[in-house]
Amino acid sequence: MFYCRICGLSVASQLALPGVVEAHDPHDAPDVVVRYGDIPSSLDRPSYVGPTWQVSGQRFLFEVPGVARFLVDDGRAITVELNETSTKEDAAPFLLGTGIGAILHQRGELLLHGSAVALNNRAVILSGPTGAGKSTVAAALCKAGFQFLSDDVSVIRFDSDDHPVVTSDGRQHKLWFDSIQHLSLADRQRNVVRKKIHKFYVDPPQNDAAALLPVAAVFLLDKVTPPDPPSITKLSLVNAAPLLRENVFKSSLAEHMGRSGALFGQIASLLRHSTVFRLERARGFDRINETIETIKASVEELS
Amino acid sequence: MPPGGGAVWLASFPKSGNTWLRLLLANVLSNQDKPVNINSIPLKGRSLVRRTYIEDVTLIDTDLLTLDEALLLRSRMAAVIIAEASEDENPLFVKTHDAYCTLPECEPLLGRHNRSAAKALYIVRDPRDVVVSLASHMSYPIDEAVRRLCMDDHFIPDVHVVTTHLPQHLQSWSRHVTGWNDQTDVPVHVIRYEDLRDEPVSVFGAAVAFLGLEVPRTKIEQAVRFSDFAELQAQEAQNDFRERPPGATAPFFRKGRASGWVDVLTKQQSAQIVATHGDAMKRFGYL
Repeated sequence: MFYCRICGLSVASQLALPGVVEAHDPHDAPDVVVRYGDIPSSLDRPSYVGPTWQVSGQRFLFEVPGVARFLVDDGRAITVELNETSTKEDAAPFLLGTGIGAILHQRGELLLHGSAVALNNRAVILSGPTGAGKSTVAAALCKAGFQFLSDDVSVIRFDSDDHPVVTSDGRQHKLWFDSIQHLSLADRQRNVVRKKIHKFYVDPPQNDAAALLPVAAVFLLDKVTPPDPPSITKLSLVNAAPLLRENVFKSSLAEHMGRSGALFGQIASLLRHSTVFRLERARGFDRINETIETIKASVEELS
Repeated sequence: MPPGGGAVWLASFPKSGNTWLRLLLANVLSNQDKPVNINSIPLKGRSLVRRTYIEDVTLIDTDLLTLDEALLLRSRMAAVIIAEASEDENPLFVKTHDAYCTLPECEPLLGRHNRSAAKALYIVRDPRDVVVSLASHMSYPIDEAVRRLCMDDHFIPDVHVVTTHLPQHLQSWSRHVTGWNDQTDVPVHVIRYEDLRDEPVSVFGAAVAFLGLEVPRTKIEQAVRFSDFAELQAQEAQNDFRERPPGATAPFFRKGRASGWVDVLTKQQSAQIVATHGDAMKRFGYL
């Protein structure tokens, strides 16, 4: 078994999970168990059937065509069935993305599609769709002195005073090769995320798996045409709430699991204590230093 | 105007008039008494390649897919779109620059379906003019645009670049036009760009009739007026055009004229295009 902590959960897995920091001690009673096994072709009485997934109560079945099928149960178990031509290395990234995302939704968590970093013990989440540059901006912020917390998914929990907090998720950064080159991170580049994909695991500058930090701000990444300098706009609660809902990780799964009402409440709680900004910036690495300075100034102003 | 449902592929090699065709369709279906906004084309459709949409529907992180897996997923998405379109009483328009091709799994890239479930309008343009337009659009040297029209392993965007869209498989210009016109899965109506420029009302009217739309000639004439290049250029000059690539130096809506290549291509460049694509060019009346 491979033991690790992901998003604050203890995990025991028959698959080695690349890009995750392996725990030294086995968990006696892991929160989540990952095993190989046979998976039914469909669920009993599904409430939703999509092109690659189905939901029935606390069961979630999904397929990555040509790679693997996954069954996620009750926030506690993931079963994996590999396609005959695929390897566990092919399946693992999808297990760590959609699979863990489904586990967290089944556990009723608020998870945003975004990377989290921190400055002066205050967390900042960079949220946006695939290709918006979340990981790249997060890596650039870490080079500028921010602490790395999580890549691509940020789980927001609420402490006893209902303050939103985010935990470091125990995983490495995933960066495209050109980001590694532009940010001079070759010395921390590790294995490729998948064969034929030019994306690599990158060691963060530090990875304190126990860190639990208050969420000071969420930056929603938006595109802009290259010549324009980066700009940041503080959003009103009314404008921020629906945009945060759109940026919930695997949002349509949450909707079809019947989580919309609960998420509305969680987002409202987040907004009571955190500021939401829209960040418009040039794509790629144009003006990346200005983008970093702009974010840093906004975060320091909040302190 | 009872058009009937189903998916309508609006298919072409890039820079062959696909956007103009969409604007003509949007204007003919619009109830407004003014041209539609080029930055908000009111044509009911779906994207075969926009990552945010595909990830929302499939829950799969598309940046983790190999090229073959991405194309397989796109085939599934095409089937989803066709199924959705079959339940709608209005057509669902789907722009595509894909060649009509089959995946290694024997699935058509654009999904398996009954012949009655989808139709295609295919717009073809003289490849020598396509080269000139492509070079301007993508800021390529002309020789690079010529090279791309001759590549069978041709994807946009380039497969090693992750953008907001999944790759479309173009193949070469010849294979693109012959593949679409020789396939038997989807009824296809071919529009020559040059004919559409010369006789827009009758050529566009025939395309509308092929789709089963019942539209009076006055409405066709109005749509042609509202989609005139002068109108499109004026809108772009005033408000830009969202489909223009970032960093492009030229406007999206350029001259739009036929045979403009004569003033731009060298003899060698035009000869290379003819040598590679001559058979298909003859078939569509370009030689």
